[in-house]
Amino acid sequence: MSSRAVPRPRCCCAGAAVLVAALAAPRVAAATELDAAGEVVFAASAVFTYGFESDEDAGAVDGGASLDGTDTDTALEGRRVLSVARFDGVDLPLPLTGERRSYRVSVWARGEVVGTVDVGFADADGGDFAVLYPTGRMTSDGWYELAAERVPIDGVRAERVGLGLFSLAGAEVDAIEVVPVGDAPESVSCAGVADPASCGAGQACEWGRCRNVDARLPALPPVAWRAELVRYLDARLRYLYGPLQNRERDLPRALTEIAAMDVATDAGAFWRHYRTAIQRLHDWHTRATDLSGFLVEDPRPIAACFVEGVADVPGGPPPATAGLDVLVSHVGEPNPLALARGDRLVEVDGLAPVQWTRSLVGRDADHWTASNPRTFAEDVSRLPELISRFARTVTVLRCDATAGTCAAAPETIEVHALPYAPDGTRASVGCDNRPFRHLPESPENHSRRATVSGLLVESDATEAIYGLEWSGLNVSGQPGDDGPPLRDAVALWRSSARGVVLDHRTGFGGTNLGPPILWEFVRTPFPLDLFRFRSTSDEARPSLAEGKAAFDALAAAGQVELAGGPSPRVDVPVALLLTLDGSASDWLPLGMKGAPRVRIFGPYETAGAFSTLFNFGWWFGVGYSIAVGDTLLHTGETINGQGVAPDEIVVPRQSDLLAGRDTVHAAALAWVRSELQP
Amino acid sequence: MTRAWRWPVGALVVGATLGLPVGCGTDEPMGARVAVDASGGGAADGAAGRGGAGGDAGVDAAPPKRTMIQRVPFGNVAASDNLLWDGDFEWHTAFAAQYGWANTASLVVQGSFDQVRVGPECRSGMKCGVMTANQRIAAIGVSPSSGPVVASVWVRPPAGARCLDLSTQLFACDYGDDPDVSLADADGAPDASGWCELVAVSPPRARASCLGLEALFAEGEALVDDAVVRAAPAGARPWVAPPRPGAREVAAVTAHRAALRQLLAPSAPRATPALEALRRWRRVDDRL
Repeated sequence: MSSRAVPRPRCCCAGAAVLVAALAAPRVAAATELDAAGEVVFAASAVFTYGFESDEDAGAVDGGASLDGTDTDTALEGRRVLSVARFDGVDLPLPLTGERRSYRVSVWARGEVVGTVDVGFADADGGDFAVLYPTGRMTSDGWYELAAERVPIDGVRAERVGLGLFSLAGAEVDAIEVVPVGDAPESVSCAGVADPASCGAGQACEWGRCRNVDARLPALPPVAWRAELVRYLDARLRYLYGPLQNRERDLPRALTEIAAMDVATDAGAFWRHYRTAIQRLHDWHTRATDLSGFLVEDPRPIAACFVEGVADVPGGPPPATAGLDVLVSHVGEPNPLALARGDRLVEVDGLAPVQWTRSLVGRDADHWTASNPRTFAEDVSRLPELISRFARTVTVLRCDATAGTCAAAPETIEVHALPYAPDGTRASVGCDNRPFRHLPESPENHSRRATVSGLLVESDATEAIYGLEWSGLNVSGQPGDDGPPLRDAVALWRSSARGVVLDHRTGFGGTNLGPPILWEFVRTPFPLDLFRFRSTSDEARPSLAEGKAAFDALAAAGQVELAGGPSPRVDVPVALLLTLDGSASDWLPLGMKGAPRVRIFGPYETAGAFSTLFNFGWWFGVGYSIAVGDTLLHTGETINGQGVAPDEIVVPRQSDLLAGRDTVHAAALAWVRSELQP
Repeated sequence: MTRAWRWPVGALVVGATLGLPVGCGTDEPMGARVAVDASGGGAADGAAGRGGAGGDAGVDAAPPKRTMIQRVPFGNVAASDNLLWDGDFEWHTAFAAQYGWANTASLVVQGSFDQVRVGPECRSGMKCGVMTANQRIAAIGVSPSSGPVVASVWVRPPAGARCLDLSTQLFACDYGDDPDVSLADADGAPDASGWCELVAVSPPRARASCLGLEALFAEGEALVDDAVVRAAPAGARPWVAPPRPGAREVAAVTAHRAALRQLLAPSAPRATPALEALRRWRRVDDRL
């Protein structure tokens, strides 16, 4: 992890000048207040204040914006404010190195601002950050306060500390204040998130070092309205969350977490229960969100990608008895852990890999899951980043591709002690569930952003089996969307293909305009489904008969979605390969299944994310996306929470991986060949 | 006054009669002056308006340059049974491609409503929506499980405009199975602070409910805040049937619905301009 864009003072005197200015500021209160005349009074105990005045530091800092204040009659403090343009950011150095203390950091703004405190360390183990949230204090002339109530800073280790401010619509900033509020724990090394001893209160072990994770969360709401807030948040899930199967299956556990917020005694517990509640809804679209992805970067990426499969090569511990094994698909640099394709990931921190990822609910802010309870592709795809961030050890079984055997015993690797990579280091490969490349232009780095098509490398112009490898169905008519390459591919097939292999083993979804491009190639129109917003606060799953009657009535009114087009090529066999597929990538196989010359191959059902989502964020540090409806299938079923099952269950085999054979693709290609017309 | 339901006397009395929290947002003192207070604290202490309303500035009669206001930064959470996703705009984020309010003025516009402002001029909490001429927006929610439905929203029309210059209806979000009901202010005129509380009670509803607003004023901007849709209290019942919406209201609702069906069709998360800008500033690269 490296703390991004942490400010570095241009010269050593910059911070000193700021401090001098701070020392000259009047101090009578414990936090920024107004005096009887309505003028700002900084806290008496402030160790740093800044008002962008001409006698304070006026240098430029990282981020491009100048810290030169703008003269205005409406400054909150003094005569100047910092103006930050829309979609621009500025990093202000804070002179907080040298001591180990916790601080209240506050700033006043007009216009919406993202505020963070970024702490950078010299040894490339990354850094830490805190998020500023509104306190509810505003002034009658339009200023509002953002504050991080307790930011622990190990200034002994910290090389730099900065205040990051990003404007969403143009903003003014003034009256920055830093007030010490107590001691801070030492920034020490630790051995994974399960390490019980190393980290202190408000900390968690990430990337081998204790991070002050509670400083990323809002303060504990005051008693005066805390219970009302909890009831309000409860109602968002209880009354508004859309997917009907998930409501039956998963909502009760989410509401249990919400109820636990009522008795939480500290901010960390309060907001982690909320995050956990969102994650317990167990839906592909429904995720907790925060700013981590913008502020921290994996300091030691692990470039090893995994797929679920069958461990059918002799050696080592017995294969999984429940579920599938986790096998190495492909590796890159850095930190491949000396793994090779076909090796087996036996355990992480003593647990089966998927069981371990599931144990991170509440701790892993980015937790992501299929909407159905049987698919774990999302967990497996994130294993490299999760291992790097949270694991102490991984247990692997190395295999020999030449001999076709595996070691007699597994090996345990202490991943928490991996060295940190230089800043900016990223994994050289993406994890796309495609162990092998099958098109001439298949990206060597397994990029999941690529869309490539053409004649399969296993085919020729006479056989004319074409392929498509892609991950997105984002078709909106906007420049750069996925529509043109998909339409180009279909046009090519119409003119030249005798068979097609669609490799959508990573499918991140898109829009409802994406799947029809492919549906139109394979079938004539038929009434498929209808997405509906949640209707009432107590809406429950209809019976099959009720659902069927509702669908038929809607179909008669022309209000349902049709799959197919007027001129399909039903003479061309089309194989569709799936593994990690949600949302529009669920709809794609839903509309293709049952078409005359289509066969779907994969290890398990798709995510079952048949909804759309809304995004909500409370001042950028706490947010969530959430599914807001469900989809009524032509059969009368509501289907969010159950994916599309492959026509042919094909699971990657370890023996194939070692032998250089792509199990799923090979099965699909064999079927297409068997279906080719003379 | 074009209230959908006839009340004994005005909306405020109605609210009291129904047991509703009249004037949502009154949990927060507006414009309370705050004296210098060296005791520390603030929102995290639970103080609501430190120094209290009308706090003593101390000394002479000279008006202070500014005063301190304490808001609940999550907005009107007292309306915890609000069936709109985010009637108060407090959970709006510029990083959202789809959000609980939608811009329904055009089928061409993609993305969520993003004219959200932070400031004390908002009716409750920290944030409120801003509407300009010819704009249409809609808040999205569900209907109560049974019984009549109370809908309310605070609007502050531009100076010189009337409350009715924000045409507001409760309607079924996707298809028109439920009655469209117009909301109205008790006397049609803004209060002393420029705000109108538009209220209506609908008969029971079966489909997802949306609250749509259309700007009918010619210039300036209006503020929108603290929209609430929820079950009417037990025992409440309408006195007369709601008037049928006029042709203009019917057209507006039809436009709202058409836009919502298109704008909110199933889709995956996508980046907004704000998100892209933050990624650029933070130098975040897309992963492979």
